[in-house]
Formats: sequence, C-alpha cells, structure tokens
Amino acid sequence: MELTAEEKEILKGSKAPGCQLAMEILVEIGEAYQAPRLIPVESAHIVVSNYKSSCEAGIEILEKFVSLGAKAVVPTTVDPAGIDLDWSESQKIPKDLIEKQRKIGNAFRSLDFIPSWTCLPYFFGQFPRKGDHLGWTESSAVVFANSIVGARTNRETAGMDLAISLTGRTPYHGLHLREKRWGDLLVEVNLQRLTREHLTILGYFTGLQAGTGIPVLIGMEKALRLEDYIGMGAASAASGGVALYHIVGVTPEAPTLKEAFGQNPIPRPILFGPQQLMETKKRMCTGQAGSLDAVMVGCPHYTLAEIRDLARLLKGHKINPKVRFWIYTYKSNILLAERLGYRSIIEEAGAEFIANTCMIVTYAELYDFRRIMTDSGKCAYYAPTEIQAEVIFGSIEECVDAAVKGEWLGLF
Amino acid sequence: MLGKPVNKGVFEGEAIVSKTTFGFYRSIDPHTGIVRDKRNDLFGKKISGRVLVFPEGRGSTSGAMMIAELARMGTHFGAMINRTTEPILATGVILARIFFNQIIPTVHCLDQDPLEIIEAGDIVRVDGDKGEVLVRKRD
Repeated sequence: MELTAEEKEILKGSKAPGCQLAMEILVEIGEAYQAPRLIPVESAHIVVSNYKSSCEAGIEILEKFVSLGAKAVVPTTVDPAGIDLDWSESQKIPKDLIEKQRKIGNAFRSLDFIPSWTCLPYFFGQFPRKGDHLGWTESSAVVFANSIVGARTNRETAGMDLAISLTGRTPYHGLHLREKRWGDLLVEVNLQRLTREHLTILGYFTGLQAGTGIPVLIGMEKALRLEDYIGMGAASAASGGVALYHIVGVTPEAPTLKEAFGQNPIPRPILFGPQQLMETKKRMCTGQAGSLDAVMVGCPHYTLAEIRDLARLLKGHKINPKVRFWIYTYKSNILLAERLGYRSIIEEAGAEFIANTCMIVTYAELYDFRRIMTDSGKCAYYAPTEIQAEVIFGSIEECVDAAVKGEWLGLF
Repeated sequence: MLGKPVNKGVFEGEAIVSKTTFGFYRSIDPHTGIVRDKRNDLFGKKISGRVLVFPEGRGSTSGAMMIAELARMGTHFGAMINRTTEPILATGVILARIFFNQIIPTVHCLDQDPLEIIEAGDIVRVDGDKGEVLVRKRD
C-alpha cells in the first residue's frame, strides 16, 4: 500500500503512539484487501459502545488507546450503550455490568468521542453529504448513509472503527470506489400502497434476496417520509448484509435504472407483491398467537416524528397492565418529546421511554419475557437469540392494538 | 494450496470444519472456546487451538471483538482458512495479534476450494506469510 509522507511518519510513531497503533491496524487491513492507499474520512461512528458487543477485549483496547493519549481526529459519534443509567429499573442489572459500561463511557470521554449513544448519528451528531467518505459501523447507519445520502462507507468493523477515528483515514476499497457501488440485483415492487410497515417488510425481503449484494428497487418512485427508509435499510442489513441499495428515481445515485446498474448487466427482476409481502411478514413472526409480555419499538432509535405518531395512537388508550411497552431513543429526543407534550400522553397510556440503549444491546433477557412484539425488522431478526423470546412483527398500529388487548390474535 | 494471506504467522494443527457461514458475535463462549450458537454445525464443539475452516463470515460487525476476546482469554483457534475472509474476521485476527500477541495465521482466496479438500481431523499447516496451506490427510 502506498502511504503519504505524513502517514509514514505516523507509522514510525514520531507523532503520537496512540495514532501509530491505530495506523498499524489500518495498514494491516488495507494490505489484506489490496487497497492502493488510505483516504481521509469526514467522520467516524463507533460500535464498541456496550459490553455485550465489546467484551473485555474491547474495554482493554479502548483503555490502551487512552493510555497512549489518542484522540479522535474527525467527528466521532457512538452507538447505543448497554444500559440507561437514569432508568430506575437499571438497578436490576448486575453491578459489574454497570461498571463495564462506565469504563466504556470514561474511555470515550478521554478519546473525544461525542456521547451520542445512538444508531442515528445522522439525526444527532453529524450529517454526511453526497460523495463524502466515512468510516462508519452500525449496519443500519451504514446503509442509510450509502443509500439515502449517497455518502460512501464500508460496513466497518469493531476495532477498525477506533482506528479510523484516531487517524481520520480508512483503506480505499469496497464501497469507496464508484464502480463497486453499482447494483447487481433487481427487485420490482408491485403494491397498491406503500406504508412504513410495508417498507420494513420489503427491507427484510430484500436482505434475504440480496445477501451482501447491492439491490436496485423499482416501482416505488414516490418518495416516502425519511424515517420510513431507516427501518427498511436496517431490516435489509440484518436479514442479509446490505450496505447499499438504490431506489430508482428516489436515491441520489439512481436517477435512472441504467445509472443504478452502471456497467453491470441489468438482471431479471425479483417480484415483491402482495403475496411476497404476506409470506415475508409470516417469516418475521417467530411467535404464536396469545398473551403478550412486552412491546419494544425504536430499533433503530425512534425519531421525533415516530414518537409523535405513537403519541397520537396511544392518546386516550390504556396499555394492558401485564404488558411492558418500551420505546428506545436517544436522550435529547426524549427531552424534545417532553417539551412537545408527547411524553406525558405516552406515559399516561402506560408506555415508557428508555434512553441511549436498545432492546438488542441491553439486558432485556433478564426479564424472561415469553412473547414480545415489535415494529422493527431488525429487532425481529435479532431478538429471538438476543432476548430469547418469541417475537411478533407488526405495524405500530398492530403493536398498540395488541398492547391494549394484552394479547396478539395472530396474523390474519 | 496457494491463496492470499490475511494475517501472518505459521501454524500447524488439526482441522475443524464448518460448512455454514460463521457469525462470531456472541456465538462462542470465550471461557471455553466452545461454539454455543445452535444454528452453527459446530454447535457444542471446541475450536481452541484448531485450524478453523469455514466458507465465510456473516452477521454483526461486532464479531471482530469476539475474536479478540478469544485471543485475550487464550481460547482462540490456531489458524483460519476461508473461501473469503471478510473484514469482520480479518479485523479480529489482526486485533488479536496487535493487542493480545496471539498469532492466528489466516489465508483466503485459495486456488482450490478448502471446503472440498479439508476434512475434520486432517493435519493442516497454514503459512500466513506465503499464503500457503498444506494438508496431511487423516489416516
């Protein structure tokens, strides 16, 4: 790999030992993937933010960088923590796990990472522009930045994220290259109506079809609300490994079908119609009809508009006392929801906000829930193993309805 | 077999082979090195000190830290061979070396399909400097 004079200096350790160590990781990875050089990035997003995904190794690595005096050289946001320390029920979580989370938070402070604690760095912390090179982790944020914004980032990994932030660079390969961003799979959407729920199911379906490929979607030219694409991308990144998709006529790199595929051949379309919609929804529900223990929404974190929609649905209703209803988002969103009056409506109905964490990385399994419901395709994919419960996927309207009744009546 | 090196070093040991894609995130117990993901065909088996052969990685990008954690605990696999070693796996073995001084030679993109050639129990020598893999069949 070709390094600049400055990069060679950093690698020699003349600048700062923390930066040198980070540079070593980048060079190793770059050479393994035959990247010709490193490129500067505008920002980084870190996934080593909770103990579940960091392990002890992650904490040791973070503390090693701290001891060497490393600092973020580009704006760096962080993914959700494992615990909301301000939530009264967090006391149920074993003390040593709380201590681990504190250690991660302390390291982040030393490294100058922005304590955003959210999977929506583009709503809180930093917003990329088309063509920007980024070094992001968090599969749902990566797919949003690449697809909806047209910025360029690989699905960076735990550990690499730190190296990118502390050097401001990443190996120049994969989705940083224009010719690696062309579509290789065509999905034709044929639905009368496209709701937020439909988009989430479509994302899940697309992920199953595409794996780590680059799907191109047609038949959905009408632009929907921005937040509806968040859940769609997150689902496709979970059920498959989608890091970039194109919607012809909507997303920035796909004004036409031809441009979406670049020099790749345009394949025969895979149909997504009412039948595929129902089949996929069925597949996303791994639970049986019956009494419900919890509803969990906010994966990815709920936006303010989604909180407002939920407040409208819950207004004047009471959630069955046997059902816990948890909404995950970042702290400042909860403060805004409070100012706007949404929070009191939601809490009067019996739902609760939990800040800066989510159902996947926190310790929801400690509750021994038997059956939970969610409006998130990503949660539907990960919860069976992470929360160890039966999981029902439904629209937010269906989630509210089941929460009020205290049971889920089944799909049809 | 000859392929591309991902992580340097040389290791020889007994092969353990998975035919499924392998996500590391929370799928191996770092204390024992035993696979605890029921969806994996190596469920219940110990990977420590073996030459781990599987097609490719999948799943959460946090998997890299899990490999580093295995190295920290000393329960890591001795070497790794994949059809393609994607960045989650590569970062894991590189972190293991840089931070925990554990060398896990890793080779991918071989001129023959390692899953066709290598069977569980074969003695395999992985040379991560040259990108070379030598297989001695089990008797």
